[in-house]
Amino acid sequence: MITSNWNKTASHMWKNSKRRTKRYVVFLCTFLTIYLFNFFLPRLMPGDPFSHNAAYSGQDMQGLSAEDLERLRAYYGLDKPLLVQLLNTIKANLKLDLGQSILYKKSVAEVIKARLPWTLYIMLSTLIFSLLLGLILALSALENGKRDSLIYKSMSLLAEIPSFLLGIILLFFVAAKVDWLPLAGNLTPFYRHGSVVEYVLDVLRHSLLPICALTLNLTPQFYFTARTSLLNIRTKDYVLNAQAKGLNQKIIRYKYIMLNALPPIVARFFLSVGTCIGGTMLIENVFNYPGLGMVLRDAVMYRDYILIQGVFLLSATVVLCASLFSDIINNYLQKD
Amino acid sequence: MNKKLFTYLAILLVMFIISAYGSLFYPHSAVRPNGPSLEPPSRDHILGTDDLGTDIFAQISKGFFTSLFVGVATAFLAMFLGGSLGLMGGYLGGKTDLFISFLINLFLSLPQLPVIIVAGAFLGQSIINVIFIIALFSWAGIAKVVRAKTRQIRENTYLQLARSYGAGFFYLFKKHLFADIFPLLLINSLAVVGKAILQEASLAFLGLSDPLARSWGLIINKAMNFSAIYYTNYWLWWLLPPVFSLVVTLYCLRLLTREIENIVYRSEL
Repeated sequence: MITSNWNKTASHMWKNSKRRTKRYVVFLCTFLTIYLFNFFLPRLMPGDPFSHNAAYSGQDMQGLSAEDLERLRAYYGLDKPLLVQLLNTIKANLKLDLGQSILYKKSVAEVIKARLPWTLYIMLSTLIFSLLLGLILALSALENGKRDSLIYKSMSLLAEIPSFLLGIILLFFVAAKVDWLPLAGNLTPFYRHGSVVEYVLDVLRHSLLPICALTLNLTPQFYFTARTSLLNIRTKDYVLNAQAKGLNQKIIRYKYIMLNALPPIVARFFLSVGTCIGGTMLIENVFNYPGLGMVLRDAVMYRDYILIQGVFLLSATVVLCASLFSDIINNYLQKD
Repeated sequence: MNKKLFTYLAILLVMFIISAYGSLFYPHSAVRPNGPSLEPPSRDHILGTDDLGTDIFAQISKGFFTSLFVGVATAFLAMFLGGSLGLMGGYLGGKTDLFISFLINLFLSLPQLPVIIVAGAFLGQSIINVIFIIALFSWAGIAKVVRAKTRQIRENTYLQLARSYGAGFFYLFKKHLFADIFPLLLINSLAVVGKAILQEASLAFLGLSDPLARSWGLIINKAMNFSAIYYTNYWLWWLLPPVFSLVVTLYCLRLLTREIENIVYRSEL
């Protein structure tokens, strides 16, 4: 009896660890595929940056001579075999060197370092606000059928409006009508901020509408997850038992139901990073907010391939890591 | 006929008819300037003209067909790709299935918009390329569902019996698999139509879709880039109509999909 039980646990553990390894293998393979896609895509395309540049910059319409081209190729290491190029790229990337941006005349790492904080700020505040809002809405309608169906319906409607259209609507119906809300940017240009408080207020004022638009778009996702999870927990035996004991309703609600319903919502948080990154890139372009989304758009407009690759690699890595986290949380849940 | 289904279809049909009028019988071209620039709405130009003097109503009408074309073409491609790969993975099993599952997971975990932007940047921005790229990044969801369903059906005894009599894959597919998989395939592909329209509009809004195809996203992009748009009333007829058309179309498609889904599941019960 004991041995069979032990066998069961062992096989369960083995299965679990196998599943875990499989997940890391998939993660690594996905990362490798993205990395190789990023490396090979521009190299497999017809033409190269030099022929493109000469035609687009407008200063030099004659194109480059054959010797110039060869010299440039050698300078950028594009004359070497692909495998050597790949190894060199990996070596450089490991040292956080992502190459030189043609558009900004700076290293890609520097450009990203300057812009990333703004994007992260928008993304994180959006995710946190939508999580809280979704959870509060779901909690508030837990015992109230009428309110529940009302919120459920309006959330289903809201979920379908894309965030950048919401941004445009807010921009024209709110920001253009009100004096104290700016139309674009992250800070008042050419303004010397007298104190830290003033600076912070300025940042908040500029980011209010972008965060609002994204939050409105993302809240339904969190609301649906929270609602399902709360309803699921509410029917558990221990909640019934707590009610039978005559515990305070507030304690049951927050300690017994809400705390136990949290893990899927946290997993949702990490899953939403993928949706949120796309939404942020669009909303930044609606409000001319100088984050990575505007960098990516400008990079594509001006064919700055190196910058495109850098931004893409970063955003893909962030999304991959986030989905790995949510996987780990979900797996942890299944164990119980 | 289902009342809700009828309403959504009717709204789409009305939009279709208005757009058909706008692109076939309306006297102004959607591509060439045909009047003074920045005209307010009048009897001649229903929604006025943009900064180059091109009629806005004609552009929006053309945009409907661009969106429709992008959505339907993408959905067909994704349906074909996702359907065949899902069927292959689910039916063949083994190493093929392992590989296809890996592909599905890979494509599902990519951040859609950045990938589409990057692929579009390198492949060039014609509308056909945009369709191929969006399709390439939306088949995975379909394949996942089809694969799971095929695996489930494959184990049915009637299929095993047919196989033991020597039925080949195509015979089985035609006689048994198709009828079970098709409703699922249809629902999931319908969902792709709306997503593809939205993704094309997002790309066009960023100025990264085909600059020659008149699409709603492009009109929004041009209106937003017009520097005096905030201080005048132009946005009322230049910016709101494309935004409104996009929202209405997306809603209708989404609700239509949901309604068809309901009908299919009800008939299955």
